[in-house]
Amino acid sequence: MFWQRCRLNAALGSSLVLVGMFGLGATVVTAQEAAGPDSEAAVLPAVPEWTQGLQTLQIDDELFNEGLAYYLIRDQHAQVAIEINGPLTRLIATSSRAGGVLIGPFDADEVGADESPLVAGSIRIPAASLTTGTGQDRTLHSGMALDVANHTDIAFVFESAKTLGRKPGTLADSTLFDLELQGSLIFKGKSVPLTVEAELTLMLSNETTFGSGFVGDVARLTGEFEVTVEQLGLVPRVAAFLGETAQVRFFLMFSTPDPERPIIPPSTPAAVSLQTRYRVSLRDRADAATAFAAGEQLLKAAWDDPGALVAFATSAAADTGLSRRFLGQAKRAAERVLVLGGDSPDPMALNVLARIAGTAGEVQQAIDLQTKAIELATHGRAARAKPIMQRDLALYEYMLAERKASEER
Amino acid sequence: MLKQRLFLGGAAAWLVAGASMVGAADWTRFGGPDGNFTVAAADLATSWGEGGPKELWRVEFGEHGHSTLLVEGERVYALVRRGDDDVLAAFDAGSGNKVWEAAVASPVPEGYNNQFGPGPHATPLIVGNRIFTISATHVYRAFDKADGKLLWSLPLKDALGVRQMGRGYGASPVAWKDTIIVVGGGDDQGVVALKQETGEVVWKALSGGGYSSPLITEIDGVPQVIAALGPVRAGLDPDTGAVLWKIDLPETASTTFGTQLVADDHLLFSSSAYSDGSRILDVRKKDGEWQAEVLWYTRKMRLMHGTAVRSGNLVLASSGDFGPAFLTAVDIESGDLAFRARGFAKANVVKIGDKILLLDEDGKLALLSVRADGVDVLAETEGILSGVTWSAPAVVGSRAYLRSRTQIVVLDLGADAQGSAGGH
Repeated sequence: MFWQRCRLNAALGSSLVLVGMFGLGATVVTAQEAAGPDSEAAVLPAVPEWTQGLQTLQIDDELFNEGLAYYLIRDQHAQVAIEINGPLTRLIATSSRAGGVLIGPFDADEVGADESPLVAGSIRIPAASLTTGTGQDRTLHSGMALDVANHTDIAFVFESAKTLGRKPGTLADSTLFDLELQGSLIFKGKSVPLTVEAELTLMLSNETTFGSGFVGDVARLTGEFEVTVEQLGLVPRVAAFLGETAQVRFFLMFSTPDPERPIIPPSTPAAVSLQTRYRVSLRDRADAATAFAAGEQLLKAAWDDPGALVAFATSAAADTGLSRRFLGQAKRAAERVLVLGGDSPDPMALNVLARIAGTAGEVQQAIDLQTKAIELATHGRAARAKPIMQRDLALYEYMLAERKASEER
Repeated sequence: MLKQRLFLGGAAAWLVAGASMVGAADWTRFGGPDGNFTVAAADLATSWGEGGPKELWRVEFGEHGHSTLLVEGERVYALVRRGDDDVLAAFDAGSGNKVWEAAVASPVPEGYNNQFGPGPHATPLIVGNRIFTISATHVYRAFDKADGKLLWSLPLKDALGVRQMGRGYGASPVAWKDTIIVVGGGDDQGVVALKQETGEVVWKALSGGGYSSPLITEIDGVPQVIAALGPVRAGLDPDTGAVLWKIDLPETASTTFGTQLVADDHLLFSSSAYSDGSRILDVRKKDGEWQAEVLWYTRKMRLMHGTAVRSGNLVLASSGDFGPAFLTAVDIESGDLAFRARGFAKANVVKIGDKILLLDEDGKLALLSVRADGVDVLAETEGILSGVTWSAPAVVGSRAYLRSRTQIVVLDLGADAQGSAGGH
C-alpha cells in the first residue's frame, strides 16, 4: 500500500530546542526595529535561510509516482507558536518561516476508508525565526536554549500517519481528517520520538481556494502537542526555570506548486518574468522574501528600461490582492522613470509617486503629483487610468481638508 | 474521412521527399493530418541509446512563441517571435537551411498580459499555396507559401472591433473549402469565416471568445466546426455559421485552452484546468434534431494548454495547471481514472500508431507504450530542447519536428536511423 511505503532519509545535521529563557536578557533590538518602521528591511523577516543541503526528507521515486507533494507556504500561511508557562515566567514564541512538504493523495476520494491520506512529511523552522517580540529573544536564541548559532533548524518528520476520523468539510469542497502522526522531533542533533494529533483539511483547487489567492490543490494541517523539557534536552537550570512542558501549536497551509519551480516558465524579457514572479509571490504565495528579491533583480535588470520600470512600479504600488507593498522599490522605479524621461515625465510614474506620498501622509505632495499626472494623462495606459487618478486626487484633497479642519479645531 | 479531403495541396512535394517520408501524411495544421494529434504507425526504434534519437538538424530560431511547426513535403515552416516581429520562415526539411523568411511588425498593445509571452501562440495553417497565421494580437495574415510574400492582413480588432485577449490570441485556424474558420470574439462574432483569397469575412456566428482551437469534423455525416467559447460548446455549419447544436456548461468550463478531441463519431472530449475538469459530450442527431449532453465529468483530468489523444478506450493528456502535471488517462466511456504517470513535466502528446510521443515543457522527449493501467517508457532523453517547450511535436513518418521558444530540432525516430551516428 502506497501510504505505508515511505522511505525516510533524515539527513539532518542540526536542530533545536523549542524553548528558551525568558526575561533574563537585556532588551534586544531586532533588525526590524533597527531599520526603522518605514524601511523595507522592517518588512522582511530577519531570519537565516535554510541551511544548504539540509534535506530532511528524501522521497523514493516510486512513492512520488503515487502521491502528490504538498509544499508548505510561508509567511502568514505557516504559523508555529510555542508557549511555556513556567513557575517563574511565561513565554510565547512564534515563527512564520516554516518550510516543508507533505506527501499526500491526489484526491481525498482516492483515500480508502482505512487509509491515511498522508504517508510522510517534514516540517522545519529556522530556529532564529522563533521570536517573542520581547527582550526574551536573546536568551531564547542563546546556547542555553535554542542555540541558534550552532543549530539552525528545528524539524518534525513523520513516516507514518494513522486516520482517527474523517468527515466532509463545510468549506471549499474539502475533506477533513483527524490524524495521528508518528515521527521524530529533531533538535541539537538529537531525535526523540513524538506522536502528534493533527487535523488535515484537503481542498482541491476550486473557486473558493482560487478566490482566496491559493494556487493548486491545498492542504491545511493544524494541531497542537506537548513536549517535555526532558524531550527538549534543556540545560537543567533552564528547565527548572521553565517548568516541565511546552505547548506547540501549528497552523500550516500547503499547496501543490513546487516553490523551486516557477509556476509559469519565465517569459522574455527578464523584467517580465521577474515581475510575474514578484506578483505571483505576493498574490498567490504570500512569499514576501521571494517577491522582494525579484523586485531588486528587476530594478537591476531593467534600470534603463522605462517601460518595464513603470509597469513594475504601478503593479507594486497599486495592484490589488498583494499581501505586502514594497513602496520603496516602487518609488525607486518611478523616480528612475522620471530621470529617463527627462523633459517628458511619464504620468504613470507620477501617479505612483503620488500614491506613495499619499500613503506616507504627504498629502500636499500627493495632490501636486497627482494633478500633474492627470494633466499629462492624454493617451495610452495613462489615459485609461485617468478616472482612477481623479478618484485618488479627490481622496487626497479630502484628506487635506480633514487635516486642516482638525488643526483648526 | 472528411479531413483527408480537405488538403490536396503539397501532394506533389511528397514525390521529392526523402524515402522515410513516402506515404506519410504532411503536418499542415494544428493537430496534424486529422486534427487530433494522431498519425499512422511508423517503424520507430524502441530504444534510443544514451545519445538520444538521431538528430538530423537543429537551428536556433526565434525568441518566443508556441506555434507547432508545419511540415509539407520538403519544407518545414515555423512561426516565431523576434523582437516586436512575428517571423514566418521556411526551412529545407532535409538540411535545416532557411529558404525564406518573412517578418511582420506585431507589437503587443499596452496592457497586454505578458505572462505567457508575446506569442504567437496559434499554429499556422497551410492550404494550397498559402500559409495563414494569426498573431497574439488578433491579426490574421496570409502568406505565399513559395516565397513568404504577405498576401493580405486583417487586424480583427479594426475589422470587427474584437477585444484583445488578455494573454494573447491562442486558437489556431482550420480550413473549410475556400475559407478559413477562426475564433473571433465579441457578440455574434465568436467564430468567423474568412475568405482564403482576400481575408473578407464570409460569416460570423455565436458570441464570446476563447483560446481553444476550433475543430472541423463530421458527426452523423454532417460536417461541422466545433467551437469552445467560454462555457459554450457548439457545432456550426461550416458553410454558413448556422448553429447546429449548442450546450452551456458551467462557468468554470470557460478556461478551456487545450485541444478538444472528437474521440469518436459522437463523443467530444473537452477539458479545462483550474477550477474545472473534463467532460465527454455525446453529440448526435436524433429524429432530425441535434442533441448534446454531458455523459460524464471528472476533475481528475484537468488539461491546461496541451494536447490530448485517444488511445484505445483511453484519453491521455498531461493533467494539471499550477501544480504538478501528470500524464493522466481516463476511460472514454465512464470518465474513470485509469492511471497517472509521474516523471514528466507538463507535456504535449502525439499518438503514432500504438505509441505515444511525449515532449514535456523541460524539453524531455519520451516514447511510450500505453497499458490499461499505466505506460511503459520505451525510450526517453532529457533536454532535447532548451527553453520552455510548449509547442506540440509535428510528426511525419518517423521524423519528429520539435521546437521550444528558441530552438528547432528535427529527429529521425525510425528503427533504421538509430544504428548510425546520431544522438543529440
